Amino acid sequence: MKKQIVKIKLDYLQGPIWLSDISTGKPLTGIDIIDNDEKIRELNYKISEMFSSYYEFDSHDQACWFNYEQERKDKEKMLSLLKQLNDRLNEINDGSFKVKDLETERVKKLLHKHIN
Amino acid sequence: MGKSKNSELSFGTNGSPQTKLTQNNVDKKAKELAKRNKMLAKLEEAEVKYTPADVIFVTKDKSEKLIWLEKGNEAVGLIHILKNHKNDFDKKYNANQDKIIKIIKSFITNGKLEYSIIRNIKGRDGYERMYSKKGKYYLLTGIGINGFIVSAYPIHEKEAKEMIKIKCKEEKK
Repeated sequence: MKKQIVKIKLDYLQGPIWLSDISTGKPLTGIDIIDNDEKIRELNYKISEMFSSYYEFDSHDQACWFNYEQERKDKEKMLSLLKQLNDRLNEINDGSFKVKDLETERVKKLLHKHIN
Repeated sequence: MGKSKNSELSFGTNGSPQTKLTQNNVDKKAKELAKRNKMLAKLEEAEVKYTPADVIFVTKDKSEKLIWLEKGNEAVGLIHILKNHKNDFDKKYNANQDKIIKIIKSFITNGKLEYSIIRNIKGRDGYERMYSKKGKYYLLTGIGINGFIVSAYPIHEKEAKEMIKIKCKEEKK
């Protein structure tokens, strides 16, 4: 049986489970055990909200400004949430899917000071 | 032997091919500059913050909302889109950078606006907008409340239709 790939990826108003309904955090993978899991929905929503909150409009003299400093401050919190999400996905995995996490390593590499 | 009629050719006399080519290039550049200034004037008129040198296109979608793309950086705009979604565009449309820009502009300008929902994230508003073409191609976008394109990427028809179904229910509430 071919396993479906479930991506963990963050973007403004989308993710981390790619794709999701970001108003509720409900994943839209088409895999029922993921899409109907309340713990996953809650984590998905928290992570998405946190990441999207780094975007500010008409701020710092720019049309769109990304708060790198806040992202760095939240690094451990984000890593913890991503780990919880990965752990839960692993827990419910019935062999029908494989997780491709594109975020954890990126977040781990966030430096103490953003270099422009 | 004497001089031929075209003996002055290398000096670019009036009406010579070199003069015409140079003039055509000047005209073309003047037209491009006028087009660009017209584009930037729309942003001035809208009184939005923007970086003139970084603006790639300015357009309106079918809701008449002014929307624009800038070069941006790894978190926003074209650089962000290329970093995170170049493969998605490539798989779907076999697209290079120039083609990606044209695709995004075309979807927004000419595509059907499937839905537009304002998302409030910790007190800040932004748009989740989905565009479609020919009922089978879909582009999902994250756009600032000011019209700045943060991100844009193609999504599969099945996922798009599911999201449209959910949003229609949301709008009815």
